[in-house]
Amino acid sequence: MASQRMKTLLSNAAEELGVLSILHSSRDTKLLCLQRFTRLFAYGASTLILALYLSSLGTSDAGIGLFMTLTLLGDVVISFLLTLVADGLGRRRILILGAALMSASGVMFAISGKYWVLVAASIFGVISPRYVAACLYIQKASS
Amino acid sequence: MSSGNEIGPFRAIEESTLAQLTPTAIRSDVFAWYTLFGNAGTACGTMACGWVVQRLLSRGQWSEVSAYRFIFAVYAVLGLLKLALSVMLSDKCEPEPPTQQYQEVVQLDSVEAEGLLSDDEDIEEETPKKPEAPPPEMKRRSIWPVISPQSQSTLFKLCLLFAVDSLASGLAPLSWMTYFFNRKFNLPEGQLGTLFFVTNIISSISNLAASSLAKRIGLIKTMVFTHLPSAIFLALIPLPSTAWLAMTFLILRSCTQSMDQAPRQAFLAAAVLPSERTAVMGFVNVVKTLSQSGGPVATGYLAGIGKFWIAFLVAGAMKASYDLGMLKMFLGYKSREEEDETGKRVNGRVDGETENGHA
Repeated sequence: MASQRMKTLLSNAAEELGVLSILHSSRDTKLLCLQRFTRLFAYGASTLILALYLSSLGTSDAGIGLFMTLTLLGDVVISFLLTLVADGLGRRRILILGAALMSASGVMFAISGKYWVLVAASIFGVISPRYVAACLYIQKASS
Repeated sequence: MSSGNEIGPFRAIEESTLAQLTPTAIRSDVFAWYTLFGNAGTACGTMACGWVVQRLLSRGQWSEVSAYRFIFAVYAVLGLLKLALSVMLSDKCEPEPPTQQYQEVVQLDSVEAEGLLSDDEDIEEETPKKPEAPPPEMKRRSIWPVISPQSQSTLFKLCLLFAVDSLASGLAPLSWMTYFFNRKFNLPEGQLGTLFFVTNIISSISNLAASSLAKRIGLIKTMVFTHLPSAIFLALIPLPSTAWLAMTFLILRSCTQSMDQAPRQAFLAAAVLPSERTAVMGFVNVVKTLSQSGGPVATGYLAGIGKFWIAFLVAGAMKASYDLGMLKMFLGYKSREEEDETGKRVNGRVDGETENGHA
């Protein structure tokens, strides 16, 4: 009896939290969620060390601040343009393009230390400093 | 942190696709899990990266530059993984072709129904009123999206509100909060790290609760009733002079601070036509990002003159006014999908009343 009640409790909880919705969702939905996890995993890793990497390459604090502003603005423009044409050109194509750019910019960061190369790579690859990390850095730099 | 905004085209496209793939009833669930996956991803990635870099550097053989480059190499590999996942997506992710709608209109006109449906069908801005629809090829040729007038006005109001909320988020970002706690109460970095890790976990889990709430009282009410308390707690944080009380307010705030994210995206998806979603979401992201970027500068200035608390108070007040604005402007708003359905369904509402009528 108790196990029956436990099962009902669990299945009610599962339904409340939407577990069933996600488990029964289509393959595409699951793929998209996995993509998001992968992407943000990569983002979390890169964003943690972006400012540190630039600093270790010898960039000045002001240079780092500029980097962050430029990539923020560049990212905003590029992302917006890509979303505008996504439906027209094909959503999957743009997602694939975005992933390719992401990968390419990772390669650029791994092999090059030149400031402007990195700026370009991070704009096109949408590598962004975590917004808050940027603030922390700028705050530290200005104090 | 709290506005959960991410730069890049992916989110808008993914969310628009998800909205298309998911029936309205479970959309808030799916969005909640989608958001959760995102938060989990960032948390795991940050942690893994920190751990890996520390290990590499502690051995003494890797230089700092090499260690960081290794991470970026991993980043590149993850990009390829993501590419593979994108390739595996099916046709269903693409925007639905307009052909189906045209066929419906032609059938209705030819059957000469008693006019039950014809008026509602005309609400579809893209579907012309004449029985002969323009050939689908003409629509396909333009890759730029067309936003219907009704969506434009909705979008304008939403962007205004989101801008206020994002600016407020920018006024109180995570790094300023850690700085505040450090300055005022002399909390060391380790404790701060734990504190904010806890708040992160709590707000991630709360996403799921949001979806469960949204199914009961509707998207708008969920958004407002969860976001409003967190705004109030945010405003209260600078007031106490004891650390534990301030930390309590912080934790209480984190319980509900991101509960409005998934419902917000679900609402946005429902508020515009499917063909407009990607563009609209992309645009909204731009608005949010740009508004948010104005915040830290103001807080920096206030911190410099010792008036840190004003930033939090103002941020809380702005978020509260965003909530009240949402409530006033969008309570009872009918989603575009529900408008398109037959006129017989009179009370289809997004804000909380289900078709069966219980709120």
